[in-house]
Amino acid sequence: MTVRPGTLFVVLAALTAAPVGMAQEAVAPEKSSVLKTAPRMASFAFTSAPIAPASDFAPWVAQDAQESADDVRLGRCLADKEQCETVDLARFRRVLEVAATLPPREQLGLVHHYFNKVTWTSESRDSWSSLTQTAAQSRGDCEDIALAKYRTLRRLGWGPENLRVVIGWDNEEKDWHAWLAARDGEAVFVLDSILGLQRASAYPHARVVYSISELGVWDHAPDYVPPDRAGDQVTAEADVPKRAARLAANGYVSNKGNLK
Amino acid sequence: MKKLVFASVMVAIAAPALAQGDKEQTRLAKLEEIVVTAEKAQPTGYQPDAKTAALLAEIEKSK
Repeated sequence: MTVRPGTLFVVLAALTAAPVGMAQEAVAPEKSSVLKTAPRMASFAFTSAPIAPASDFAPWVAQDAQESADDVRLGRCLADKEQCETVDLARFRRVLEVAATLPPREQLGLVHHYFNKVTWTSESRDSWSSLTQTAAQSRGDCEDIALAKYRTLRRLGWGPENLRVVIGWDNEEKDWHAWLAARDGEAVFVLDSILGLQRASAYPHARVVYSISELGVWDHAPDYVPPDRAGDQVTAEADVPKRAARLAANGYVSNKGNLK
Repeated sequence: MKKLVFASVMVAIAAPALAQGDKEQTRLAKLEEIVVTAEKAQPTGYQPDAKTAALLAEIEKSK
């Protein structure tokens, strides 16, 4: 039997491409049921391999570019307090000075609490702010705050292998949320802009979908298919004090003693 | 015929890797669709310990 080269190529290409086509045709199941397959934050580990470099992830690339562009502004401020563009940026400069004198876990606490006081803003566009933007304006939303903590701790000498910005699903609020995970020795901490600083084991209500650092992107819920943007409506409680109080009432404890 | 066999083997080796790369890109594009833009009020947070609170107060006074 004679097989034409073109025919063989087409057959091989079709066979090898089949899994991709199947993945694209898969029907996205309901969010609530699929998210049950996403791991809880309590089992979060820093040990798995990333699925891709961070340079393949558009939001990170854009944030990183902004970070580099703003480095000059921040550098001027760090070198000379008089060059700080805003009072908030000068205060951030002081945060770095003070934090540099503290042991690692106290650095976590200071950086976490400092950025948790920023004014929460809504965004008309979905972009991740640079550390300088968040610090200078003292404004941001949850991923801006998580990223600001990440970049600050990196400046304080924390290794990227011990820090991860985590994007997940808040089962209490039925809402997407972002927070920072930090590892100090064997302990994993969650630095959350709503609930405070917690050990990951005390953070049972959140499901992890993906996480990111400069070392890569981790897909923690490969069976979960995010819905289209249009179908992903935000339903969060706008009154955060009420929200935090309700979570506390449901047994999600505060940060007291969690650093020990 | 040798060329045909060689080409077929090369395709068989390279295609799965290419398909895996496509799959990863598709997955990343889906993850990028997750929009964390919830509009929320000022977060309350929890009270820092005494030492951290004192440091934060000192920082707040700095200008």
